[in-house]
Amino acid sequence: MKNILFAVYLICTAFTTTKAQNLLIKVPSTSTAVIKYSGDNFNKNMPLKKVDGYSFIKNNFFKLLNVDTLTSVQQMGIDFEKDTYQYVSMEDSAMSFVTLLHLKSVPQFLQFIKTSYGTSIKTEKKNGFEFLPVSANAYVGWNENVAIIVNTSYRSGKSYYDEYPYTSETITTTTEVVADTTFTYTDTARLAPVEETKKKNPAKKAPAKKKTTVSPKKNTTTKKSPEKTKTPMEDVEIYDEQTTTVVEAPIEDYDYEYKSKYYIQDSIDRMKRELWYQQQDMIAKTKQQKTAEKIMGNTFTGNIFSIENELSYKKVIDPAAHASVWFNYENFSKQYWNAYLFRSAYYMFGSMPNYIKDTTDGFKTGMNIYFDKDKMQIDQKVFSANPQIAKLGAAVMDSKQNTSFINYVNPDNIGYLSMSINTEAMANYYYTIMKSYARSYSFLSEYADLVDLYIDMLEIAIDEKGISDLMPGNFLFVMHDMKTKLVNYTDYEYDSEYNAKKVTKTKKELSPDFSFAMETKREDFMQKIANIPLKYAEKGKFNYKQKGGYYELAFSGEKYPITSLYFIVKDGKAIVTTSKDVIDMTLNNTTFSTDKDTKKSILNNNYSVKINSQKLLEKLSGEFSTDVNKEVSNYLVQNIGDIKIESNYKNDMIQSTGIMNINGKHTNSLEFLFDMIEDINNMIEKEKLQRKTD
Amino acid sequence: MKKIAYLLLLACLVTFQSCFEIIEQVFLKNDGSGNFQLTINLSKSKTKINSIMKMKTVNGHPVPSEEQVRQKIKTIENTVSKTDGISNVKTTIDFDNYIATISCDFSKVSQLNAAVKNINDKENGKTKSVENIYEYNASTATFSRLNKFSLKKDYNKMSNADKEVFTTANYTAIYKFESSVTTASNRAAKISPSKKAIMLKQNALDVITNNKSIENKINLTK
Repeated sequence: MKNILFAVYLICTAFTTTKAQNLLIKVPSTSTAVIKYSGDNFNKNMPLKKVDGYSFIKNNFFKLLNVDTLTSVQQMGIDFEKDTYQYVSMEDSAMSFVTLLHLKSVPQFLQFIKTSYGTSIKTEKKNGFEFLPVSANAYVGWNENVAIIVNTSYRSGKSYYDEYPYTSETITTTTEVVADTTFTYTDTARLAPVEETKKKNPAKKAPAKKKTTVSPKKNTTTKKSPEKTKTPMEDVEIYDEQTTTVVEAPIEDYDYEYKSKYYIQDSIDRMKRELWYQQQDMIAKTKQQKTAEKIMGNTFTGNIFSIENELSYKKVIDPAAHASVWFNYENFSKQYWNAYLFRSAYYMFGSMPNYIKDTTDGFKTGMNIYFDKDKMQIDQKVFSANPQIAKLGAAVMDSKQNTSFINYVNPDNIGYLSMSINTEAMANYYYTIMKSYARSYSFLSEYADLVDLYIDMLEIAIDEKGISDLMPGNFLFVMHDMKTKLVNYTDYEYDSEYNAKKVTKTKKELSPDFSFAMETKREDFMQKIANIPLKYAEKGKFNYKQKGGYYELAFSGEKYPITSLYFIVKDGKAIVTTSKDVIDMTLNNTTFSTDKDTKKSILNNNYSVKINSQKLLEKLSGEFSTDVNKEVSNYLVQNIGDIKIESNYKNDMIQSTGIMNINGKHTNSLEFLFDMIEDINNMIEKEKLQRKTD
Repeated sequence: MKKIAYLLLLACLVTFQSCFEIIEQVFLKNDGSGNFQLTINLSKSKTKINSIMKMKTVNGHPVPSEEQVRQKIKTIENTVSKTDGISNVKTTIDFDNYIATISCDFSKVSQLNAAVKNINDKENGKTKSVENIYEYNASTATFSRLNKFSLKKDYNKMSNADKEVFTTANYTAIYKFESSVTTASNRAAKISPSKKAIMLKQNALDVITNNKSIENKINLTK
């Protein structure tokens, strides 16, 4: 029996140890965002020794974090070879950015913290962990295996003017004491807290009353309010002295008196505001520390319902990714609402509404990043646990690109963007979202039936079918090329005596060659749009002409980088292009010989993007006039490969894949990223140094 | 600060590695009178500016219309005209090439300083004092171009897109005299063979970041 118990204990211990290695269980399900850095990055892709060698890590990154630049990444006591997590928590009016790290050496970690934040800071022993406040909003906690860094910011949502409301009435209303003078400045908002002093010196009211007899403006509008007799203005000693002066002063001095009184009042107000803000800072500091302690207490000794059990996290995040980012739009908008929009709504609607949106609603999204040998891949997934929202998402993506569009992608293009969505479903999606959001706000939920009715009316008024006939949702943009164009400009040349002479010079400028195509079932309407400018061309002084089956807007060769813009409506397509070839192709029903890969990518995806990075950078290189920009451009040409993004709907999610190929001598794409930052940073620094020494 | 706003206005006209040049010319007689001309040449970037002029904002700054630019130049012309000792004020603006000039005659260089001060007061409401930019001492026959204010702090606050504008911009100063130039304090300045003219050309970014100076003390023969 004893053996069995021992065995059970061993199994439990082993299980706990194993679980403890996975810091994901310490990330709460209520997190707004979760970031994971796989340990593989540093035990396989990028050894820490190499990371230590990058100068930007120490000179830029460490400086940014206020970390001592002599610190070695290997000597921080942090086990970077195990998964590290960061999450954003927005609870109890505090937004916290929490970092969970594995430790490999507590003394080294402590040394690193103390070197970075000062040796005088004292560690506090808490239940199950050590606690160290390093600043008013940064706290570190650790046990022998794990460290937590909490950066937190508390927002009370209170405003000084909420506590001491400004009442316009009190500005124009004079008191019984200082009645009938427009110069009397009684702002209860500013003086409310000192009301208690009133009883201490009531006698000082008396001289003020005399003022009513000398004031030439005693018949000006005044309201007598019983409350106003208690206005604390007269109770302040300074005020009473001022009032006395007013009584004795000649009428002409009222302006001066008013100004004096105003300045004194202003100083009191300012001091009060400053004290109030200081008090709020102290409250915030206390709340921030409590928040940090609570997070750490829950992490080290409490129970956390981990995000790893959340369906939306499991669906979206790939545990094998080298880095991942998960984001909850719903949580974010809720917290944003509470923190920022709450006050605006108060002023708009006169009550403090609550955001009561269903938390299972909306989309959750995540990105999985893979640092492969020859490419960096980013997969994005968008998922909703709400079947209605998921269905709407599926309906929007239920569309296929028009096959004739692929003929406009020339083989040696710089890049293209193909988009195919169901515009009718998109319109319906917006109605549902609008209704859902309207119901979410308490001040509108009361009138939900009216809001529903209004949106239904909008739905009746708007003809989604008409919109989808005009624009079924298939679009294509192609950057065919970037040609150069010779442009004249005026410059000044100087003779030996520096007499200026105007000269005309020429220079090459980039002239983009592009096409934009849109599918339409309403050729008649698009044709009308294309025709309209013909009537106004002369009056508007622009060169717009109808030619054989197409239209041309010609630009002055001198003034614009492009010479002509062509429009054509034909065979269910409306096309805007700078290329006469595309117009001729459309008129003659001929096509570019688009490659198979491009055809497949466009037809099998809702979104398809390709950028020939090398070609784009080579074309742009003429625009980079400084040496450093040319150098950076050359570097990128040598190291960045093509970029490809595809997006479609599968497995109940909107899924996108972005791939950036890499060239050059890099072991993998993570190393490429570090190398690129290092090399470009060095080029910029070198140029700065060069500029100084020249 | 308003000066910076106009600098930014200029910046928003010329974006993404565009070129512009500021040319400052002074012809000084021995009695201290003379002629001044300032030229802003954006011609090299005219295709970009033509496109920008069709927009409402660029880099977050509002784009003025041709009419607004004309009015601004007219206001400056009026302000300069009202300065004592300044006469024959002329302004031009060429919207085909984007070249703007302002020229005037002066009887003392101190009146140029006054004109600059008046423009500043008009724009900034006398909130900021303006240092002299020129000095001429007839007894010692010394002409000085001063530059007491620094734009470095304001430049550092600019967005990267705005900063980019100044990388290829140039500043050129040409000063001509009745007397001959004997020495010039700024080593980057070039004296003409006749010694009656001197030219200084600097990269605007170097001037803004204080890497290079446009200050120059020029000694003339008495």
